[in-house]
Amino acid sequence: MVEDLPDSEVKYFAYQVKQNYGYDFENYAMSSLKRRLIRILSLYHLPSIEKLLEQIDKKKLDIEEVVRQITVNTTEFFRDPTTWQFIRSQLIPNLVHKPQIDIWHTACSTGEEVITMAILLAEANVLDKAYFWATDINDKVLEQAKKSEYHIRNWDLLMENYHAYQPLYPIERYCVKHSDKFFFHKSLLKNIVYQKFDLVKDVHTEKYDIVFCRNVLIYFNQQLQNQVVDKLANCTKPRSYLVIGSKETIMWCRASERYNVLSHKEKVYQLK
Amino acid sequence: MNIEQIIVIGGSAGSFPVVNVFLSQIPRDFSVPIILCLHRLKNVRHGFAEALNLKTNIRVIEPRDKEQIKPNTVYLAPANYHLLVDYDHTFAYSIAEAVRYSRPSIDVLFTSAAWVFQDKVIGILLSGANTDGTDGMSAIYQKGGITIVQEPSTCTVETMTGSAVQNIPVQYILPPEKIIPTVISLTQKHF
Ligand SMILES: C[S@@+](CC[C@H](N)C(=O)[O-])C[C@H]1O[C@@H](n2cnc3c(N)ncnc32)[C@H](O)[C@@H]1O
Repeated sequence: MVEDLPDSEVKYFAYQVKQNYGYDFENYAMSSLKRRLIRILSLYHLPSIEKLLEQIDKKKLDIEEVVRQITVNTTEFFRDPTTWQFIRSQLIPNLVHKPQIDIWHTACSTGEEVITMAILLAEANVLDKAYFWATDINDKVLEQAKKSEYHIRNWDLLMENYHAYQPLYPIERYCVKHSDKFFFHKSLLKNIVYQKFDLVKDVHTEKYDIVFCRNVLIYFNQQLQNQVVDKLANCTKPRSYLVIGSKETIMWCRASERYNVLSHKEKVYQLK
Repeated sequence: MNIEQIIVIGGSAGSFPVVNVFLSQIPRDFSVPIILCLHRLKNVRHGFAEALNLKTNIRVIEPRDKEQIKPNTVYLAPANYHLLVDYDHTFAYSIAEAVRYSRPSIDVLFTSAAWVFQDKVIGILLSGANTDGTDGMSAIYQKGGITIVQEPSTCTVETMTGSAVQNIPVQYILPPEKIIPTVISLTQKHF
């Protein structure tokens, strides 16, 4: 098994993928990216980056699948329950009077975070006027998100987080279990649009009431974080919100000047 | 800031008292950065760093993502995230899958430290109930770093240290009270 890769190999991979397939990992945090690549080599039983690139080139390996393996897709319903409590008590009351609520989940993975937000808005009785744009770099996770069916193995964690969030209603109000899966009601999901969007290179000009960008900035180096947070700030309505992951910070980013910190702990920012 | 040496410490079940003694005996002016990865309960998010702080002369903090590694500081990996170090001497978090049922994983931290700091790493593995840490110690060993393992017979649970001792040629196998003096002599010229 490959245990280490010279940095030059990692950089070479990023360069080739950028040239040939339009994904830009050049400014991803190096140690994490390297770990992922070593993992991929062992997963596909390949001895080197050169061989990996060759397999992709010959279409023996699907680049989308490789991208899925590079990016970390782990997610949870109601991850960080206190953050959702904060959103419920501090943000939603400022949104309920709007004729329309626009929400962007910028790295939604398999959709758990989007469904979580939909449940919050359903609790507040404003789901009908909420519109979600849920995006991710990776087609495969989006396909899964669109199905909105989840394996029962995720149930206990959902219940643990949901309970910690102290919900208004039992979870069965929103979903049903069936054999080894659970499904969310279509009425909860009707205003969600899932679409591919690469935070590194795609451009967007719409503005949102809440932008979620959780647990993806950690995979970027500082320079890329800077660039991406600029982009997010440009897509946020004045006095509207940015929510990032619990271990992330925008303090090193120039766009941090454009925000007030609403909660250091919950990582919620408000555009000035 | 040029980092001359770095200490990474991994522990699990039974390691907390050893870590506490270790930290309480670290001299105030000990400059070598120390990074701690201890397996803990998932939702105990706060209070741990504070608890450690009580017993030490050095600042103990949970690093921010992309924070620069600084001397004279103890960094603590929080629950539920892997903590890695990166080539620009910053920290990076990841929520990738658990490694050996652990997140944070000692292997993940130690291996990244070995990649970045090579033979400047001192890896210390303490009591614990699984085999996380063996691959990390192996990475440190292969890059020419120093490996220290708490003597398995002195561990509350010896699975973790036993696994390391069996699988790699560990340089120092020490009872808890010898760890600090050894570390101090190994870092002498740097503080
Ligand atoms: C760990 S998941 C976070 C999911 C969710 N936001 C959460 O916090 O639970 C990270 C996601 O970021 C996506 N991602 C990675 N690079 C990206 C990029 N350049 N643009 C958009 N999404 C990206 C990955 O595909 C992955 O689904």
